Amino acid sequence: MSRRLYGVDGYLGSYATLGLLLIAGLLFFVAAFSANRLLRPARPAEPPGKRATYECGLDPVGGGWAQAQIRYYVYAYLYVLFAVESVFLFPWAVVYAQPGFGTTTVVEMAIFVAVLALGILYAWRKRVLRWT
Amino acid sequence: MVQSVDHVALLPAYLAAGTAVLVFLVDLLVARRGAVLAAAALGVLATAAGAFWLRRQPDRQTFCVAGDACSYVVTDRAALLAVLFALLTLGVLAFSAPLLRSRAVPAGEYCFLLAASMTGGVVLGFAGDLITLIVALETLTVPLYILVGLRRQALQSAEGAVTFFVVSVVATAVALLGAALLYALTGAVHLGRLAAALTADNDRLRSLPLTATAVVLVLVGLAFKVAAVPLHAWAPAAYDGAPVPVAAYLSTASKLGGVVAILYVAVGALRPWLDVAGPALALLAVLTMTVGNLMALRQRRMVRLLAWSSVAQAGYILAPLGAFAVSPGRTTDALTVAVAATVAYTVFYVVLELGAFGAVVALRPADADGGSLTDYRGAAYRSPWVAGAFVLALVGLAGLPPGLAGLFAKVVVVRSLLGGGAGWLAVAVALNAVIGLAYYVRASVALFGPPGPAGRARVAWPVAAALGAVTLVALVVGFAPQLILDAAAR
Amino acid sequence: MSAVLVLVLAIPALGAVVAAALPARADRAGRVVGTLAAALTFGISVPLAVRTEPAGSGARGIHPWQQLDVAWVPGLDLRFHLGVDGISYPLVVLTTLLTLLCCGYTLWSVPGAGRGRLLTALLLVIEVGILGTFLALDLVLFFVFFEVVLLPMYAVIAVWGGDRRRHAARKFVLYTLFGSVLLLVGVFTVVSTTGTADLVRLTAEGGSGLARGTQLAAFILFAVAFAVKSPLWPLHTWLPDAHTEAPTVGSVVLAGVLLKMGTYGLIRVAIGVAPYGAQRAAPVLGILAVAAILVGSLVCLAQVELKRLIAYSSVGHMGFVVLGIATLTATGLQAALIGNIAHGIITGLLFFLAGAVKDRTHTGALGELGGLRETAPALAGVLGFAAIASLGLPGLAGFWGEAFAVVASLRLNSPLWTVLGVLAALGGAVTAAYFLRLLRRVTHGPASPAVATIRPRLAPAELMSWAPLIVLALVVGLLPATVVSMAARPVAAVVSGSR
Repeated sequence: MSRRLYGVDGYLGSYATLGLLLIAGLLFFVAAFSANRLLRPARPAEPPGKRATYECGLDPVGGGWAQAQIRYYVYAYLYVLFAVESVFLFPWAVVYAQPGFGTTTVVEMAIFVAVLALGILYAWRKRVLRWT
Repeated sequence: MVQSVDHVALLPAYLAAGTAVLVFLVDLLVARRGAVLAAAALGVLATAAGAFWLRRQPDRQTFCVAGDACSYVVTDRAALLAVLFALLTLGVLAFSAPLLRSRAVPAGEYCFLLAASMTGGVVLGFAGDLITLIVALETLTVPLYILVGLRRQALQSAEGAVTFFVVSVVATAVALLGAALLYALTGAVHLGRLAAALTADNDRLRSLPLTATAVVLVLVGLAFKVAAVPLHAWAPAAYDGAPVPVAAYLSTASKLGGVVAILYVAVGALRPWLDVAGPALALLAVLTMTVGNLMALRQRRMVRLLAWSSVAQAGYILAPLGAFAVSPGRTTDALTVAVAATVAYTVFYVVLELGAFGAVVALRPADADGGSLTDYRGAAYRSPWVAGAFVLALVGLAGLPPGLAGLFAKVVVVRSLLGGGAGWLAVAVALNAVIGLAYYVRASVALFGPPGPAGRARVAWPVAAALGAVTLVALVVGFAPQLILDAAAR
Repeated sequence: MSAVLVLVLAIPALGAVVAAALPARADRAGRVVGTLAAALTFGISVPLAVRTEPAGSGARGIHPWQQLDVAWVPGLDLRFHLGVDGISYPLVVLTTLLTLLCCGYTLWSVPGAGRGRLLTALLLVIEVGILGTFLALDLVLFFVFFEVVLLPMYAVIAVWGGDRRRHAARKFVLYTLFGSVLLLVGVFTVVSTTGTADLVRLTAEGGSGLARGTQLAAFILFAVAFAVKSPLWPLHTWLPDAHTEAPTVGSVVLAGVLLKMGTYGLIRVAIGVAPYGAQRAAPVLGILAVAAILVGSLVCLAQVELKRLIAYSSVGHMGFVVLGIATLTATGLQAALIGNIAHGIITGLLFFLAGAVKDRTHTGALGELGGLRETAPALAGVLGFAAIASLGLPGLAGFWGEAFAVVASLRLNSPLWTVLGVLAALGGAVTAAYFLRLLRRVTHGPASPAVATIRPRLAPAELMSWAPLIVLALVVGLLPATVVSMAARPVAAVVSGSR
């Protein structure tokens, strides 16, 4: 079994070609960059503006870190809340009407949804839902 | 089909979760600090009462598969654990009163998260399978990420929370991976079935390196919760960053949860593999106590000192299990002794640790962190009673009279170690106790230094009451340790 | 049934609580309450000599005169089992007496830090621990009481001590805790093997329930634990610091009775429980004891500080006691017991005197003292008496212990023990040399500037606390039978089967 699995002509052995190719590619890449590094002249200059975000074109305005509005994050969170909820709701919706489930199932899902709804209630009372 | 669920057995869990919801609603609809605290205290008390009532009922179980393997098992010990978790939460709530009054943290969220965490702890004891166990443990831990970071003005708080979060997530992933591997190997998640499968299929499983990997992964993942080496480094940062009452909760309830989880898994499920896991556990125990004690020697900040000391204490807690596993004649009796020693030590430790943190809360301004040792100078003259309770707790943690509770805790551990024939572990514990005394004495002496600039602050009544109660319990179990030993042996 | 045994522990404990709980303005009242409790304890400790238990058969074991046995923590094999016999009785009375004297002394003079009621309370707590250790007939209980004294003594040194008190106190507490955790391991090595912690039963069995290797291991653990406490060379280094820095009453209790817990434990626990181990380890113990005698006395010859000199002399004296124990003969153990008592009395007195000298001259340096008999003849006289008693002049208490330790060692008739006996005797001679040197430096010669201006009169409180010790030094010296006769039978019962 191990021969068939691990041998050169075995199942995994066919990957050997791929592996060799990868190694050759890697070597080519490394060799090219090393040669480049060895052959090129290295006289770094420090003209003004070299380290700026854009070396050419318009001068950047403001910092590199742009702030996203926190509300998007909150809304994304609320969305996740209901996305996860619906994952459970769909299969439930398929079976709850079948014999053997019935009221208990409905009550259980009601509790589940109610607990999640507490999250909405929280968001509402903490005035997260208002945009301005 | 609809599963038949024994709702009576689930009563403590319902009450605990109900507490969280109640606190949440009270905060949203009434929005008064006092009401929130009262609701939380009431709910926690109800949980304790419910669990205590359940203890008097015959054993029950629910969520069963094929009759015998159940995910939720009510035993005497589990019910007692639930009571203990609820009482610890109550104590922490009382310690939190001045913090909440100072508006440094939002009251509603704080109490809700604490109650949610308690729910995990309450369910934990009843867990009958690995999934329930890990989910309960996560329920216990996840709210703590936020609680640790709740001191929003302090940078250390955020740092502590992030450290705690990252390490915790890694540990959980490790534990889950181990559980998944165990399931893949044995096809079982219930603790009893796992043990049976590991015994029945012993020869095949022993030859697979994967089994050992799974066992080690599960145990290491769970060892995180008790802050054992190698996953201990989060503890000082998290404790010091957290509000002091939350640190108290982390070092008592959360640690108790970790101990319970390790006991359930190591003894309930991995019993046939203890001879493999045991030496590792013993080594971890020795490393944990030594590292904790040596690091605590260097600390200048009170809460960090307590944090490292609690790491060291985790080592003492783990030692009896390791000793059982390395002892030559492993009988069920010896296992019972080891488990009872672990449980008894944990209970003694939890009481004393809660007392120590309660005293820190009482001695510090409401919205402050634990401060450095020099901040406590003169405390013995400003508030002698609180300082007395603090010294009693520290000395007890060091394991010396008059902290008889701590003395007997050490005695329990050493006795079980020598009974199990692990003399070298007993000597390691004994020598570590000497190192431990060095810093516990330093912390105690700090209280007697020349008075600093801080004036005398009044201790809020909930803190005073809770601290008094904890100290009283420490004294009582110090003189009548048999109460704990009996409860632990069941 | 002996309620007295409980009262002996309960009264000082209660006194300590009351004294400590009194407010600061009632400091004197607190000290008075504490002293009364100490007096009451002494009063009821004396009648402990009344025998209520049936007389023993003389077989190996412990035959207590009175005992009390109540279950406490069955889960830890811990019983509240107390008893008193001829070995422990003299030590119990010595403890209650010295504590009373110290509390009385505190009534008169509180060391610099003030809060005398707390000092009194701590002395009483220490008394509880020491008495409990001497009375315990249960191994685990013995261990618990052994630990009780640690922190109170730490506090006494750290709060009321001299300039380097913090350092000395920390050294004391860490060293002695190191000893007592080894004791814990030893105790449970024995308990987990034999299944009982009852000292009476364990001693009667004479180690028959223990394998030889276990006995040796247990004895070594016990011996190291007690050697730290006694202290035995080379584990003695905490003692000079602690004695030098401790306040007078602290030094007195420390030297007078606290060290005795070590030697008492060696006799009662180590030899009683593991006689085979004792036999095997006896030569090593003897060699260390003689080393202690020689090192102690040679170091004393070079000491330049009064209290430190007395402290080091304790190392030598306790070396004689341990030598007596190591012979494992009736003579040797008797010598050890009487040596214990004598050392407690005399060194207690010496520390009181050193304290008195330091209080008056504000220095302990031998170089700055001199001519004490010119300015304070009474003080110099008592100091001379105590020093001569301590160097072992026949007719005074110190003689019997040292002489008979040497005799017991020579009587064993083996080359090793003969050499040890001769060396110990030489050490005794050096003891005489350094005490005479002490007297010459302190009392003789012209009065030094520090001594010239002191008040010569002795306070009544000082006389009151010294007089009983002076009398006892004479009584024990002239009538050693008072101690020896009591201990004869219990010692015989321990020794039978040990060698």
